[in-house]
Amino acid sequence: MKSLRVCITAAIVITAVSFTVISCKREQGQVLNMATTTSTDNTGLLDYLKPIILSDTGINLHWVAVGTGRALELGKNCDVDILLVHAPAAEKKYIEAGYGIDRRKVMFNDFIIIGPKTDPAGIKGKSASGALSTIALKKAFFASRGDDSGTHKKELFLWKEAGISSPDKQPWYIQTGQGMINTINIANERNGYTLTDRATYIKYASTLNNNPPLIILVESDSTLKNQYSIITVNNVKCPKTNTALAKKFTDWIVSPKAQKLLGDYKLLGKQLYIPNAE
Amino acid sequence: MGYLLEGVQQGIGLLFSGNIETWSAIAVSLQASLLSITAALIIGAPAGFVLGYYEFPGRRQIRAVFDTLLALPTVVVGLVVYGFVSSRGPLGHMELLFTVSGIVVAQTILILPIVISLTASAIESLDMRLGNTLITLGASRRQIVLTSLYEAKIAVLTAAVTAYGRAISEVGVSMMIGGNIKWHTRTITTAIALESGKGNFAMGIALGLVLLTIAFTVNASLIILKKMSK
Amino acid sequence: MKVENTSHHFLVRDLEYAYSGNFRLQVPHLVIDRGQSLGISGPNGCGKSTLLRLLAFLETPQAGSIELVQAAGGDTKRLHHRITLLLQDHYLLKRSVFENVAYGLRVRGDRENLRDRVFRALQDSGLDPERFAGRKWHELSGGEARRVSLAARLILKPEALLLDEPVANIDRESALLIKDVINTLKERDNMTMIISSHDQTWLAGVTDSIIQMRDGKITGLLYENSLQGPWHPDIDGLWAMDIQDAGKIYASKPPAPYSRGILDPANIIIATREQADLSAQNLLRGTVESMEQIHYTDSISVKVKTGTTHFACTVTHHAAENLHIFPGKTVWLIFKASSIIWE
Repeated sequence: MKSLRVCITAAIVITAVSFTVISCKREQGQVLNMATTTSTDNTGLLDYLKPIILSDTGINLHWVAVGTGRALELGKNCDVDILLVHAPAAEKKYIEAGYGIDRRKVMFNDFIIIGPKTDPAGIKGKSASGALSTIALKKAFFASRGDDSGTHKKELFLWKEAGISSPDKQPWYIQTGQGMINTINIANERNGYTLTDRATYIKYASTLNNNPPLIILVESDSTLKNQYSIITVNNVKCPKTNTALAKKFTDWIVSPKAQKLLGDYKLLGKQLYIPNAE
Repeated sequence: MGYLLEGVQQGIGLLFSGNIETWSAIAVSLQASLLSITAALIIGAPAGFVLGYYEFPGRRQIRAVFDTLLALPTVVVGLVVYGFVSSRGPLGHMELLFTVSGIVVAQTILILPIVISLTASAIESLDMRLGNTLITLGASRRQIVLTSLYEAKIAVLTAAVTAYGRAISEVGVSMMIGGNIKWHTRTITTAIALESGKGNFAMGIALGLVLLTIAFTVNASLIILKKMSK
Repeated sequence: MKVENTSHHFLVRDLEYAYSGNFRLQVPHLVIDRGQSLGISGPNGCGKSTLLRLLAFLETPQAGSIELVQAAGGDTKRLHHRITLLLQDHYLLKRSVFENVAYGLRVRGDRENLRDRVFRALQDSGLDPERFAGRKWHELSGGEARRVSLAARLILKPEALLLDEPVANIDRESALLIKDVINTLKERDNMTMIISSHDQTWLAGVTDSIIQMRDGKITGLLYENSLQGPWHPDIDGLWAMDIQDAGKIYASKPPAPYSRGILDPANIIIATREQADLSAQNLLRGTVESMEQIHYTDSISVKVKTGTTHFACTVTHHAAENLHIFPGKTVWLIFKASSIIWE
């Protein structure tokens, strides 16, 4: 009997202790729930901005980082108040369907096409369309995110622009269904190409002492622009949405101060985002 | 291979330097898993007792259902619970989504079949004479349940330890229902998923070490308890 | 005329119980009195254990009822708190001897003087508390384990103690010990006891009367009056045994002072008036306690209480009518000293 009682007491004590540890971190400010993408979260931008947001606006920002598709769905299901995503075509449809309101541009960065140093398909310096056409022609290995993320949507858009209809049925094209880092690694294993956002590439390169096996081959094409926007969940469809707080946050992030912060934010010494709120 | 060793080194450093991100995730994991195992035991132990002790029609079929649910994939549980606790779902008003409470509820559902099934087995393997003996000594029905569970305490505790292992090492439910929100609903496992997705293998290994330590401690305590009761 | 007899303890009416296909227990009528020590005897499979289990309210009958009569002024307790059963197939909880014995009290929420009571119960069961209280359940011999189970039930001070084959398959020492325990309980606590055994001789030594069972039915009473002694030499070369408040019983010389004498009920004459000057040497005054029809015969079994002893006698239906014998009536029992046969 004794030993059992000791264990139960210990378990209760640990639970109580962890309760207080958690509780100590309890909420200051008003909580705003945001859905954003994994690539956004991975840059650490939001962690950096969070305390500043709190002191400037009193908003305690909570965000879940998921794929773009899921982020939009969370908005549809009224599980969050606001979205920070980068899939303009999908966003426009979203607004039209009435799920989101008050869409404002926030910042942009770009995508790049990376591949092996030896560039077997010879795509260096081409335009995005040109590079993809060449890859398709040469049947070079291409790793796609395949997960309906912002990156994936952009990639599909680029294939369409290049006039190639369904690369997903080709043997040289695989869909990893995973995050960006893993997809890059898979591309590397097969000595192939992939489309990535610059921020992830910067991190990837730094983990390999800035001498990674896959290097930037195509960039600065206007079609590679990656636009981030903020969308408030429509309180007509979701009455519980904290619209006032969402507006406060939106106003803040497009303000000159916030915009400067976004532009100055550096990941491993390199600028990531270019603010372009109107 | 190098990153494994490097990761272990960095991991140990992270833990002992008191890195609050790390410890926050650990605390959330412990809190959620301890609460869910407690809830699962309170509901599941008596239910397992009923399933193991009494004869009634359909008993074998119910047993089979729970045995199947033992291997519930966590993402499936996560999806189903999300359907219920999402704002638009029937339990949306309870505001469980993206909270530790939500994780606890979903984890409890996940591990309940384990507790019920293994407790039923434990009770079934009790000596058949126990029930009658307790009645002749004047035990009430509630006392029979408690004493039987205590007689089978090693098996019941093993069930609890098994269920706990499932709770603390699962990702699917915590991710879906908790949302992996830093400081609030980030658990050891969702943190590992996040960090390795970002390429921070050191952090991933560190957290993995913690998870292993917790699992080891729990199992070791069970072995000690077994020895003590002999 | 309805006579309400508050000395009744168990009232069984139209009891029926069946299990696993063919076996059926049928007991239309059975009355057990408070403080009575009843034996149930019969071959294996006759239904002894089943009847005990029913009397212990461990099973529910398909038909009929068993009533456990409430004593006047007693506080109402749950059925299972008033009686207890020691199964042949007994079982100890996986804990120390002390905890096993204390369990019944714990579930009743009765913790006063626990240690003293446990120790006394162990002593009553013939186990030295100092040696045994700390032992674990698996550190006991078969006989010791059974005694622990017994102690666990004695400590409850139940109204009735039911024992199912208490001496089956145990060593002689334990068997004798259990016999002593039962006798002590009879005399000291006036506990109602119902004991089943296929060993009629042993059973006769611990019970007032024995019912026989076969194929799920009670076939009759085992007729023996068991006179345990102690016997001491008395006048005229006869030996005598004292009965409290009733005088003495005279018999021939027994083999030993504690020998068991058996008196066939058929050798006892019931008289309704005090007789004097008889050639028979035993004349005892008593009260009729109960009367029962003996199945398939014309006779009635009459139980007479003389002091602290009971005698089983038989009368014919006819005689009972003529002599106006009924429960509560004062009668005299007459029998020869030579009728007592030594075991």
